[in-house]
Amino acid sequence: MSHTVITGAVLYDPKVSVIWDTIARFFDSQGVPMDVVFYTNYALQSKALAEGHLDIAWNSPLAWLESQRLTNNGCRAIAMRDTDRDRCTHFVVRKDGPKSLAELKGATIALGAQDSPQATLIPLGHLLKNGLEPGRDVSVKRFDLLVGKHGDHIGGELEAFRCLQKGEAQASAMLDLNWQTWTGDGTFSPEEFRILETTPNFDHCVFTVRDDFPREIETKWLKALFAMSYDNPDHREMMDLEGLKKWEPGRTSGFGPLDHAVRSLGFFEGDFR
Amino acid sequence: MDESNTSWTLRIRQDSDKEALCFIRRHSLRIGPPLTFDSEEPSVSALETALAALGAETVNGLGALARRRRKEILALEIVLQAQVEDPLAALGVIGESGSPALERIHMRGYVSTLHDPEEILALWEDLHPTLPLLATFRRACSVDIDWKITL
Repeated sequence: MSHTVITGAVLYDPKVSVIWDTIARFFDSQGVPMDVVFYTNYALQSKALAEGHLDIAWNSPLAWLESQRLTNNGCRAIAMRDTDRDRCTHFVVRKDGPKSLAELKGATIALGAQDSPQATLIPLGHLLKNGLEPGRDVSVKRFDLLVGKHGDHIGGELEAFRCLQKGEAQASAMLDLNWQTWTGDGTFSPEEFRILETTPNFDHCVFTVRDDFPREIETKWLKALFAMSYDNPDHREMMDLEGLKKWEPGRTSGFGPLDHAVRSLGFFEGDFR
Repeated sequence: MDESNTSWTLRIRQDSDKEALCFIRRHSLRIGPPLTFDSEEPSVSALETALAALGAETVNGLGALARRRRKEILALEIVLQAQVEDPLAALGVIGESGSPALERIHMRGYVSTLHDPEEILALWEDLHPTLPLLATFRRACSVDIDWKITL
C-alpha cells in the first residue's frame, strides 16, 4: 500500500474544503494519495506537524515561524504559490492625509487581526524600524476577527480600512493584493485614498514538512504538485480557486520582515496582546 | 403490540470509499458522504437524503390527505433550506467546539389548486401532527414551513 500523505490545512470557511478535496483528487490521479486534515487554527496545526501527526502543513508565514520554533528549526519549506512570493503591505491614507510615515506620529492606525502577518505584525515591525513605537508614538486600533487564522480571513483587514474610511483612523494597513482587488472591484476609490508607504517584500504561505519527512515521498509529492499547469483547463479551475498560476519551490528568504516583527513585539513570548 | 410489525429494518453496506448502499425491503438506494459543500459532488449526501425525506414526507402526506378529502391539488412542491449549527465541526475540523447538528430547517410549500387556500391550510393542520419525520426533526431543531397557495 502506498503512503498516503497527510496534509494539514486551516479552514475558516466550509467552501474552502471543496478546494482541498479537488487538490486531493488531483494528487490521487497522479498516483500520490493525499488526505487532508483540517484545523481550526494554526497553533493546533503547527503542534500537529511538530508532533508528527501531519506529513505536510499548509502554513501561513507566522505558522512557518511557529513550526520552526517548535522543532528547533527542524522544518523545511518545500513549495509555495507564485502569488506567495514578494508580497508587501501598503499603509493607506486618505488623499489629503499624512504625507510621510513620520507624519503618522500621534495618529491612529487601523490594523487587522492580532496574528495577521500582513495586516498587523509586519506593518508594526515596519513602524518600529522607522522609529514609531506603537502605543507611544502611534495609537493602534485593531480588528481582531478570527484570531488564530493568521489573517487568512480578510475581514479584519477590511474592517481596518472601513475605520480609516469613517475617519476614525488616519491610516490602515492592507496587503498589496487586497489594494489591487478593492480598488478594482469598487470597494473603495483610489481617487479618495492613496498609498503612503510600502513595507519591504515578504513571502506568504508555504507547504512545510519536518526534516525527517522521507525525501523520496517529498520528491514524488512535489513532482505531482509541479505537474499542475495553468495551461491545462482541468487544472486551471483548481489553481484559480487557490489563487495561483504556478507552484514554486519553497524558500525562506522572504520571512525576514515577519521574523523581525515577531521578535520586536515579543509575539511568541506572549508580550503582544 | 408486536414490535416486528411496527419497526423497520434497513441494511446499509459500504459500497465504495464514498458511497453506502442501503437495502430497504426490495429497494436499494445509494448515499454519499455525511454532508458536502461541493455543488459538484457526484453523490447525494446523507444529510441531503434526510432532508429530502422530510420534504417528501410533507409532499406525499399532503397529496394523499387531499385525495382522501376530495380536494384537487394541481401541483405541489416544496423548497427546503437547512443549516447546521457549525459547518466546520461537521467537516471534522480539529479544534472546532461547535455542534454539527441541524440548527434550522425552513420549508416553503407551493400549492396550485382551485380550492380556497383556507381549505388547504386546514388539511395541513390535520396532517402535520401525523408526520413522524417532521415530529422528530421538530424535537431536534427549529422547523418552519410557510405555504404559498395559488391557482
